[in-house]
Amino acid sequence: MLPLIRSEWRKLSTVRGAWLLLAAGPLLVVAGITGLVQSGGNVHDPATASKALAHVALAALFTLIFGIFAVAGEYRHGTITDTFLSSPDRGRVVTAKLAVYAAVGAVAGLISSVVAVAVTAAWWAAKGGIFHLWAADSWRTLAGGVAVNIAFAAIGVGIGALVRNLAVAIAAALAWIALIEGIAGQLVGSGLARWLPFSTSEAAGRAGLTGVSRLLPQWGGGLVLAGYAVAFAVAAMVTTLRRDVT
Amino acid sequence: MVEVAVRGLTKAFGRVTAVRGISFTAPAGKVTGFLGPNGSGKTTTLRVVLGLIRPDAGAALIGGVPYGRLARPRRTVGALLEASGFHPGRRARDHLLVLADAAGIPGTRVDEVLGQVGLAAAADRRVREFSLGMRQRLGLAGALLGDPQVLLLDEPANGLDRQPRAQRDRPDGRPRGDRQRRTGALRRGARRHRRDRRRAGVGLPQADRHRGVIAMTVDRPPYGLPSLPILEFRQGGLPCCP
Repeated sequence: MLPLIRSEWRKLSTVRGAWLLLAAGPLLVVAGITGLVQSGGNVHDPATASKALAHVALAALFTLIFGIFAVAGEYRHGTITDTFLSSPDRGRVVTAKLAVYAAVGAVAGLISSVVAVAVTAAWWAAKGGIFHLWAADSWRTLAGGVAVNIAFAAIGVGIGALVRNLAVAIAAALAWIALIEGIAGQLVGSGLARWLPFSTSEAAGRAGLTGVSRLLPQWGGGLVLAGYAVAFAVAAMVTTLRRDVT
Repeated sequence: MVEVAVRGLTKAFGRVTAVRGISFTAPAGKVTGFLGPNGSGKTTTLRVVLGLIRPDAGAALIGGVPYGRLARPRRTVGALLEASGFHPGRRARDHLLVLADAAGIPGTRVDEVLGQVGLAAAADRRVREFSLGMRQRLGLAGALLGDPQVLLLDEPANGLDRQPRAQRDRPDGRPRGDRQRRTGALRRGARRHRRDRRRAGVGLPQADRHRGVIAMTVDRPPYGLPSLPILEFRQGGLPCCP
């Protein structure tokens, strides 16, 4: 297992695209929190601080695409053949990818968290509000945000292994988040819509959302999201084992 | 010495049967050429041998073991496949280090094979800057990385030299007429023989004669290779045995 993990890490560290993609996460956090404050967010309301820190979970959009590249990118460039020649045990390949991409997703989430705390503290100071970093909600929001980053990286690996066509996989994932889940949610009703993947990530990525009945509680959202990540990982494993590589 | 044995191999993609009931043995100590037109199943057969394609029936064994059960696949079999590729933004040395890492091969071996295929000077260049021939050499370096006992080469001469003019389309894009093709081929016959020998030689350096099996797919008999058993592939049919 260790040689494959080392190989996956070298694949990542020897190209530039993946890092540019991950750098976009913290930028989204900076822009999102700034926008929240500039559009009249009340810095004296503790719920606004929680809302600001919840941008960490939104940055997981980029770890999702990052994860899609793990497998679909290899099919795109034809390097998957060499990968499977090195390790005919494809299950180990998928496992190594899940491990490396989840770890990088965690680091990306942590960096986004640090950036979110810094930007929130700066804006709250500038606007005369008091930012309680040590409040339980702050920590639970950040922890949830990091978890969403990890789960989305793993889900991305799964989507890439299932779809294999890089452009189609990314388009499908973005379309789901921007459009399809919303429509599906209206079709099934809000009782079931709370259980759809992006809704669970919203729930998991923000603490103290009492009164927002359209979402599951944070722990529930986190559990269901983890379930989605496992389901995608298993589906990736099963299809990758059976398919021909031509 | 390791030999490659294929028994009763059948594979269909949808309604197209790519390979039907093929059996052969690529004997140890020999170069075996797969000869046949496009679509006759040469590449599919190689990919089944390498465990990339699962056959509908039959089996392919390397030294008695399927590829997926080899303890150290890259040290047993080296493969150069047409469809395998490179990340354009990755440097040549890094590409080989990725393979070496996964196979547990020391990194020092990477510079050895880069030198062997004549890419030492290009080791730190990104693959996007490489010509077709340089990519082919990098693929060959990957095949040689584990100093394997068996080499499987799919169209190893691709891109290593110009195709004979008589086989290319005319500059205006229309195919050459048969007569033109024939006379062109005749006129260039002597030159082509020399060139084919040289091109095949790139895939088969003298140092590689010690390997157990070298199987290669070729679109015509490679002149100048001694004792070459030829397996002839026919469109979707049985190969005629050597």
